[in-house]
Amino acid sequence: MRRKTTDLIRFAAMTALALTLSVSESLFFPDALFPVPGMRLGLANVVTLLSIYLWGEGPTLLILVTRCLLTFFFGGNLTAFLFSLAGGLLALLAMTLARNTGRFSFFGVSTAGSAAHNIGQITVAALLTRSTAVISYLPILLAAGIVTGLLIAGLAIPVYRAVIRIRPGGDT
Amino acid sequence: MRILREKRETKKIYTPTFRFCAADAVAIAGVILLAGLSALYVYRTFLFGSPSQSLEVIFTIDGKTVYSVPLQSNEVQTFTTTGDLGSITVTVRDGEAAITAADCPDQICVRTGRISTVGQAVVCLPNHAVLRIEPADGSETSSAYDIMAN
Repeated sequence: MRRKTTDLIRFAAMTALALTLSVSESLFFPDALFPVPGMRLGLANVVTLLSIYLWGEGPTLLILVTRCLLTFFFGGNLTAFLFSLAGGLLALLAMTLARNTGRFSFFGVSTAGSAAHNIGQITVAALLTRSTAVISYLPILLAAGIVTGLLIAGLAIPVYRAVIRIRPGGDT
Repeated sequence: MRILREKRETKKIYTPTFRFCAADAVAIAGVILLAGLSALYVYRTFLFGSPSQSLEVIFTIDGKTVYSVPLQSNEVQTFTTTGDLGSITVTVRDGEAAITAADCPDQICVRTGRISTVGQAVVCLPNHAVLRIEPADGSETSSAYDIMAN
């Protein structure tokens, strides 16, 4: 029972972090800043990257879906919701697969997630417009995704170390 | 929650590494390759098609062609269509096309700017609208004629 409560608090704190990151990202780095639609930092991927290592993909899925739903409730629109959900789910899948190979560092796993995020978004856009023309945004989004993927990994490393330090031995 | 935890306890624990390694470089190279391939796909007609082909601007909503007009024309042309959220105005001038006004909340399509090359597109997601450039004898046009013939 105690363990269950601790887990609940941890997942809730991580969801709050993800929500804070995605809301502050849209405040400080609005879409207007980027030349290509759909280009963004994807700071919330920090949380996905951290929690697949801390607790595994199950709880991460829970955190991801909760975050997307809450962003939607806080005045997001349906298009944006579908976008972040599809991108987030595909990123989670790619990061999990990359982690399971055991070959990649945080940087490789994060890059895989970032690329998958872009592919998910383009897929949703293609379904919404019923046109494959949106693929013209993919090359530039993938290129930018490499940069943001590395950046996300760099941000996640100190946070991971700090979280592990709270519970020595990595019992998180 | 309990199901998630019980599963986790029988599962392998993954310890992350923080040092950039060779496999990471391979992952990045893979993404660059993917970006290159998709760029080749997008600009295939521009790169390998005959340069003398005349181009046309195609405007679609939900994948259905609303209108298609020649890209090259001497006068400035504007077209206004009503989409899910209101009107969308397209301007074609000097061999370039753009969505110049739209009744959508984000205005991303208007900010995307002008397109002039085969394969390029301007997307207005809230209206499910796409403005793109194709060779004038493209498959899209002929399939539209086929539908009319049927």
